[in-house]
Amino acid sequence: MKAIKPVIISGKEVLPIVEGGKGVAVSNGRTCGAFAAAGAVGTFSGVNADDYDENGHPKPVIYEGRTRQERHRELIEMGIRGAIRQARIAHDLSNGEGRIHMNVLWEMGGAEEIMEGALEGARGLIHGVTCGAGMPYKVAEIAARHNVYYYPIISSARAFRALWKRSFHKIPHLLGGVVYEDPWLAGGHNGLTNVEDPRQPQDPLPRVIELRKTMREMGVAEVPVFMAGGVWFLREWAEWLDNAEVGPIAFQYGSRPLLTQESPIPDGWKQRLLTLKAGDVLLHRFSPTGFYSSAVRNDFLRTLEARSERQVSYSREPSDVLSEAIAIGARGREIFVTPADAIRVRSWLESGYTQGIRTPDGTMVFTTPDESTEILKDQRDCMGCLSSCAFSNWSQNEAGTTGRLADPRSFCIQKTLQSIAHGGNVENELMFAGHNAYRFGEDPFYANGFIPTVGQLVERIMQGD
Amino acid sequence: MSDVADRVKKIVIEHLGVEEAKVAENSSFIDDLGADSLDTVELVMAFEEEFGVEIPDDAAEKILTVQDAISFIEAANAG
Repeated sequence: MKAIKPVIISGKEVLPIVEGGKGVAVSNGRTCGAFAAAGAVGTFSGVNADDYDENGHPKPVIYEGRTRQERHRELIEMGIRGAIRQARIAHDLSNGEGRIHMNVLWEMGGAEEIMEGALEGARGLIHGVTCGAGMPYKVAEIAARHNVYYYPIISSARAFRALWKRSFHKIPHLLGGVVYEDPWLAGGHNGLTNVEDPRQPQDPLPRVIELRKTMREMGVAEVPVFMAGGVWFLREWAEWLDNAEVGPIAFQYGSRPLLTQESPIPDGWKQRLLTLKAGDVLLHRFSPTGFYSSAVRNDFLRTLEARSERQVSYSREPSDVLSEAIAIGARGREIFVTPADAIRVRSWLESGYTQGIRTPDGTMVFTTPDESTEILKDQRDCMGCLSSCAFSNWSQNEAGTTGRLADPRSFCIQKTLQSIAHGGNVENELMFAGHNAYRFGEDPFYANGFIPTVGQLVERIMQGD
Repeated sequence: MSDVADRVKKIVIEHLGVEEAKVAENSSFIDDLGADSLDTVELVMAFEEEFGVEIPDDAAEKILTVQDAISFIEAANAG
C-alpha cells in the first residue's frame, strides 16, 4: 500500500484523517478531542450541541417560550452555550495535538449567529469551521472575522465554482480545505442537486478530479480535498494517494466514529450498527430541510414511507377526473378523488387511517388519529431549528413562516435527533447513517463486539484498515 | 412587459430548463420552478452578469420569485 501522507490542515501538519461532524450531539467535544489527540482532525457538531449540568449530565433541552420566535431565540442561546462547552472539552482533551473543527449545518436555525457566538466564546480553541447542507457562501466572511479556516462541504465542482465566484474568492487564504461529500454514499443530509439522479451513483474519483481542476483554475491548487462518504478501508483508496490529478487529499469518516468508546451515542444505537446489512440505509427525501438524506430504513422511515403512500390528489369540488365523493373527519366533510383513489381511501379509512391531512402539494395523506395528534403537536411545538422547515412551515424571516402549508409527510427533525442521541428507541427515531455502515458487521476489527477507542480507530485506519 | 422582465424570464427558463409557459411573475424559483439551493445562487450570479448590478447577500436571500428579481434589478437600475 502507498504511504498515507500527512497534510496541512488549519495551519498544522496532521494525519489526513478527519472526523465527520454529526449533529445533534453525536460528534461532540469528547470525540473531537480524541481525534485531535490522535494527531488527526476532530470535528464536533455545532448543531444544537449539548451543554452539561454540574454532575456532567446533558442539560435537558426544554423550551419555555410561548411563540416559535421565542423558542427560536432560546434554541440559538442554547446552541451557542453548547458549542462553546464542546469546544472547551475538545481543546482540553486534545493535548495541543491535531486540529479542532466545528461543523454547522448551513440551513440550521440561527446558523450565522450560532457560528459567530461559538467562535467568539471559544476564541482560540477552534481552528476551522466545516459547513454544508445548503450553499454556505457566508461561512468565509464569518471565518475571516474570527481568523479561523473554513471548509465548505460540497458534492460537485459546480457547487464549489458557484461558492467561489459568489464569495470565497474574497477570502482565499482561509480556505482550509474542500470537503467532497459523496451525495450517494454519505450519511445525514446529501448534496444531490436536480441534475444528479439519486438512483444513479457516480464514481467519486472523476468528480473529485473535476473539483481539483476547478480549484486549480481558481488558484487554490494546493488546498486539500477531504473525501467524505463511503470511506472505510484506506487500502481501497490507493488510487487516490499520490495522485497528481487528485492533489492533496484527506479522508473524512462519518460512520466509523459512531462506534468508538468516546462516542456519546447510547449503547442500543452502537449495538444496532453491528447488525446492519447492505441496503439497510435509505437515500430519501423526507427531511424537513427539503434536502435528500440518508438514514437506516427502520420503523421511523417506514412509517413516513407508508404515510406518503397513503396520499391522494383531491379537491373540494367535483370535476371530471376527481369525481367520487368521500366524507372524512368527524364532520364528514366531503372531498372528491378519482374512482381508483376512492377505493384506496375507503380501505385506509376502514383500517383506522381516518384523519385526512392536507399537504402543500394539493394532496391529502391519511393517518391514524394518534399520528395526526402527534403531527399537529410537533408542528405547534416548533422551535425554529432550521432556517426553513417544510414540516412546521417555520421560516427564519420576518413573517416567521414559509407561507406554505405545513407538510405532514415530513417530521420534526429536532425532536427525533434529540431523542435518538439521548436514549430514544433507535427503531422509532431518525437514525442517520452512511451507506457503508453495514460494514461494521463484516469488518473483523469489530469482531466479538469490540468497540475501539478513537485512538485505536485512527491507528487502524492509518494501517489501511 | 418590461425589457427587464423579459430578460429575467429568459435567464430563468434557460438556467432551470423549464417551459416558458410555467414562468410567471409570481413563480417561486424553489416551490414552483423546482430550483435547488445551488440553482438559486447561480441564478443570482446570472442576473448580476446580465444586468451589471451587484446583488448583496442580504438582498439575494430575499429574491425568491421572478418578480423579486425584476423588482430588485429595476430598483438598482433606477438608482
